[in-house]
Amino acid sequence: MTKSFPVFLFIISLITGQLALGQQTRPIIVSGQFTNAPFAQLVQTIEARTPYRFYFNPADVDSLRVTTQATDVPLATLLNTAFSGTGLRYAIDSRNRVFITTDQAIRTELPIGFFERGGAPDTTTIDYGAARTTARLTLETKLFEIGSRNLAGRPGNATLAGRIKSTTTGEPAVGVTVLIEKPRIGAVTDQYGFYSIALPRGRHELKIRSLGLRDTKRQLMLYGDGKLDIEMDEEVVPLKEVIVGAQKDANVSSTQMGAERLDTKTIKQVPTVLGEADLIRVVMTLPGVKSVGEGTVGFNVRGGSAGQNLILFNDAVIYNPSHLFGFFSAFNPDIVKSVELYKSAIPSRYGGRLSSVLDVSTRDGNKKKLTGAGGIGLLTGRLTLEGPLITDKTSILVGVRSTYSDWLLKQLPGGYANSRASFYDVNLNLTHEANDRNSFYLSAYLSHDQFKLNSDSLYAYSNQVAALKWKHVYGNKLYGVFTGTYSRYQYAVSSNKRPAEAFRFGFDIQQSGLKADFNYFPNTRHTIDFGIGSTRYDLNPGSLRPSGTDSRIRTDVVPGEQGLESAVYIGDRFDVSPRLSVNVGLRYSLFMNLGPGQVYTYAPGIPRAESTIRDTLTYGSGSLVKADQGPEYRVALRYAITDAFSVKASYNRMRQYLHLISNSVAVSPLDIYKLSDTYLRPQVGDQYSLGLYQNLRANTIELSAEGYYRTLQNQLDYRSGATLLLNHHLETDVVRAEGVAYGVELMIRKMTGKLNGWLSYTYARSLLRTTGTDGSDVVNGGNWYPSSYDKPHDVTLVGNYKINRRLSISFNVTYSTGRPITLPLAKYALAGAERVYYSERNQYRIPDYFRTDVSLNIEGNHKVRKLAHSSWTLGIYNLTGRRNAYSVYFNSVGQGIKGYQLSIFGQPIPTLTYNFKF
Amino acid sequence: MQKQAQWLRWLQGAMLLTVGSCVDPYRPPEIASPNTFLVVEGNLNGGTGSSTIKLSRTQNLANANKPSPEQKATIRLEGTPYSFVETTTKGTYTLASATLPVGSKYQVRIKTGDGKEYLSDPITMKQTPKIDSLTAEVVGNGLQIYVNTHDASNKTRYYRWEYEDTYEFYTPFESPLEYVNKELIQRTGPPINHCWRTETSSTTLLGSSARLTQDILQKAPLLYLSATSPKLNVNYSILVSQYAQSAEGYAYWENLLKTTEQLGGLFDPLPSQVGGNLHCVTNPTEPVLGFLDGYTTEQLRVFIKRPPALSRNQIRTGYEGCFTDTIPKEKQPLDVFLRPGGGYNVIRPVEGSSTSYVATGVACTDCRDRGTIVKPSYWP
Repeated sequence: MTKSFPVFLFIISLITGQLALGQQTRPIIVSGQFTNAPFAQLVQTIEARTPYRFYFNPADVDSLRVTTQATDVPLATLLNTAFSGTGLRYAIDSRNRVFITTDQAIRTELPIGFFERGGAPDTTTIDYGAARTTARLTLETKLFEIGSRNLAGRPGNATLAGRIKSTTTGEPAVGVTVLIEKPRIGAVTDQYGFYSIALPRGRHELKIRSLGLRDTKRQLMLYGDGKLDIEMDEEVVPLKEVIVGAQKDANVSSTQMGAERLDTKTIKQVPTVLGEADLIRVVMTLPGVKSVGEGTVGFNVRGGSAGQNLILFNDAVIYNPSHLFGFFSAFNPDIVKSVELYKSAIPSRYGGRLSSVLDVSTRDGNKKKLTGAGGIGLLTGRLTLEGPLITDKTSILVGVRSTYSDWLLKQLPGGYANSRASFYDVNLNLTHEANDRNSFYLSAYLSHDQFKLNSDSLYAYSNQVAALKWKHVYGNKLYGVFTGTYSRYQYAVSSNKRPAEAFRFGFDIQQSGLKADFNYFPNTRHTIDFGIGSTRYDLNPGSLRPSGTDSRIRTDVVPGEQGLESAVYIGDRFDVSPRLSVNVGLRYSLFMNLGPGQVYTYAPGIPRAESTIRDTLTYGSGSLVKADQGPEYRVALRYAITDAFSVKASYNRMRQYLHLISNSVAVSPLDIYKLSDTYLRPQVGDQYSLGLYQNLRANTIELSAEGYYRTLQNQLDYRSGATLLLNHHLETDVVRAEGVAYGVELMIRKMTGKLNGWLSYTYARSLLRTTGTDGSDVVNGGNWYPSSYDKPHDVTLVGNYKINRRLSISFNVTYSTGRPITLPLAKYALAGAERVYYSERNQYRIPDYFRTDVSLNIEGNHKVRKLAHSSWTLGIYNLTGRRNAYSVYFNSVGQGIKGYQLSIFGQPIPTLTYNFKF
Repeated sequence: MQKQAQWLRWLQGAMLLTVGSCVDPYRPPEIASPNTFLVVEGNLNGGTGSSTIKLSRTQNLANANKPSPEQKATIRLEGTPYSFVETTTKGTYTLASATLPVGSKYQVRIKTGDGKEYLSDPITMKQTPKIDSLTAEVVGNGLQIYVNTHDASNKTRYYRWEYEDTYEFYTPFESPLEYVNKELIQRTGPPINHCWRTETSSTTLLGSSARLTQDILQKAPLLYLSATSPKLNVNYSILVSQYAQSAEGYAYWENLLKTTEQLGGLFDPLPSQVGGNLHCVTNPTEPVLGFLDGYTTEQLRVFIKRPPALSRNQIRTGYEGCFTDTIPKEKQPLDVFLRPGGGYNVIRPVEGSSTSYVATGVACTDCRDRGTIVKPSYWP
């Protein structure tokens, strides 16, 4: 045991102790230079020159040697350095006494509010805010040691992982950036609030930033792999100040392009019809997303059809995202945590649709206390309750929404007395954190809609969705999520008006899937995700059955369809350099159309028609009817030219095996789905996109320009007079087409400050061309023609201005080109009947669309602790009263045929909603 | 259209919940501007026999008038001396004495009064095979009539049919007395309670053997007569005309069939343009509607009796509403009932009375509103 003789050398260059004594408020600063000095030496030196007095157990510090240089620093800084890598803690009280302890610092004051317990409940916000600030600052200055100290001094990287939660609700914080500045390394939390970041070993200041949450930081001493959970305060009500996040620079720094993340706050700001926050309607204000029409929630992304959007609700597919015929979205705004929309550079973990992924995730529920929220609007009421089942471990969230408006229809003049329309939806979420490594999530959703027009048909549809997830953390570098999902969508139309013709028409689709997704963080520069999954589809494409004993309706059931879609994927985000990062991914999907089923064969060389059916092939249960497969490539790269300016490019290929069969432009309850089969080929889409991103004024203003070019193969369009419902051979009524879509999306966005919002302009085209050669397979002579959702120009302005802490104004202005329409141009008589002569398909447009909405949000008082927080939203939808054409239709009037345009919201519509939260 | 109307009504209703929706006239210039495209209907008759072509004009959608015939046009067969002559029916042109042999090709050139010229694609004259038979069988609660045909040379493939069916019927009452000059006299002339009614096919009937290895059509459905139909009561006859279509012509008719009743609403199928085989020479962008094919015509007539499987007591003759009444009534003299427009015909005097009569509605004794009392020449 060789123990070098301690050599110490210290120079007290300047001591300002006297000044410090004289002015208590000024911090005492110390300076000193120590090289392998015993701790006692340091104490001696400081006590000699400052009023500080040290209290410690000599046995705790006898092995400590101090090597540090300090010049005019507070004592805390000196001690932080001196104790770094040790288990020693210190505390300094107001009388300049320094207590050295092992492992845990002693508290030098009583907890905040210690004497106030049981006192007046109406604690003022200032106290509360101050308390939170103190607590936060304590955490921000405390040094966290990660890993075993035995590893001190080793070179290389270590992985830090953990979860970030909200302090108030205990729910995971999603999309939070965790980073260090030097070198610049960052990670983002996933939907479970989980992050993993590989950092060089040593001392770091870890910065944690997020929109909607108060930025924070942690002092780290990283010895080896370890775990750090972080709680973040919510910016509940910005009473005192608005903390402007220093670098909300995800727009520029993330490799992701063509993606939009919206949180509930943004969604709730945008004024909507009938006063209820509607996330799909907000999504439709984003560049590249176009509404199918007013009063519908069908949307088209970058020139794709409404059936090409994958809408996920906690990983389970939602087929009909609308209520009340599209006037409400299917998602209860109080349940939703965030929405992510991917338009391009779609990550390899998603697949199955060509145009977009809309990933809606719901909140887990408050893990700390029971809370609730709700609202009452003109048509609907909603209530959400959430709270812990086991505090900090298990939470439950239940949300219910329903119309109470049936009676309103009955109040109407003009024969709506027998009409009724109603909907409800129910959400249930259970979250259980079994331990650090295992968490379980159960989410269930049920919606039901029905409406009946006088004594005519009754329409009803419902979504049933459930997802069960198990998240298992294998270690800091790897975690996996195992998910089982089930979705069912069904609708039925029934009529009992004439007993002899009473019928019930039904359709349903269900899918159940299992998948495993893994995230692997091998080192600082790579983030890898991979997974495998399989989904089974069961469809009943349509059935018509008599209803009641007197009905003479003949039963007609289109045979069911079955399919199995499986995929494996891997993706890697590779940070080549701080300026350049690359995302590469590959997904391989395989679809099998399975028996039992029948396939007709047709005479070759002529258009398929009922009259050209030659033979029927019968497949047994479970046997393979048709398999399709193919790779899907996903590549994206980002090059940061400066810290505030970057260029991104991406290419992706998507494959879609499930087709929405709808020859109306909206997603109506009467649309059906169809699996790829012998004749309907899988849709394949390629997208190339390029974007420029510039942040201005300390990242408070984002400018972006994205351009894209898409080619779409095996698109569906329909022959003249196609029959879609109850069609046993749909292949005779569809035509195969190819599509191109291209456009430019420009956006300027300001997300912070008194005035926030965005302005976007989109130029986009979407064209189709039939690929068939024979008569009925050809539309418009085989030339390119606009698709039904081709709307070249679109300008949207969404904004919110905070007048004061309780009053804000939201506004929404939107303009778009009218959608294409095929017009009947003339009528004539031929072969004994009156005929209508139509233009070529989609050669004309309905009138342009323009609308302005304004709403005023009035918050209740801002006492933090009171029974319930409430707010009123007063709005006017379509302020200018422009009669936008929702639909253009033609009716026979006498001997003539007249055209009409129906405007649904053809005049300013006032709305009023009361929201509360407790 | 019915369904769409419901949707729209519902939408309007839903919106009335708040303030109300609005329906405005929609008249874009494309619709409002006068559309007078030429419509050509007819065919070239193969072999000997007369061909007929009808010319008319399209109308604006809102126009409630009957389609206007296109007069004073000249129609010629390109490269032949044959030209059509306008008949007394306006807009109808016939070619009476010409021989158009099967297999030869013709182009029809039309010159309208405004100086525009139209030309058809070359039309190949096709030989229509004979109708093998017309058969009928009970399907459900009714009778399905089929046509059977074949072409041994496998050349025809695409068929179109038209039919004309005639049925014999009686009114439930007879009126032997006639009200003339305010007097009831014995009715003279042929009976007016026994008629024949003839109807023509109103739908496009198509058949194809394109999928088959042989050009044989068996049991191609023509029409379905419900057991309740008055047609299958006394005697029934159907005359079927068969035409051999070109593949293009067949596609045209199929397309037309599908788009006839659709009117571009949101929930209706997407309509599309139905082209033809004629073009405007003077203005190539001007559409011309209609399709001209050339073929010989085959016809077959059969008589069909009501099969015993369909019970007679379900026949609805359309006379179920007929009842008898006694006239005159208090303050309503006989003349009120029997004068023209009075609506009554006398069946017989009330027994034991010289002033009262048993009477019924005119239509219940006089079938001429529904058919003709002239027995067709082919009727047995």
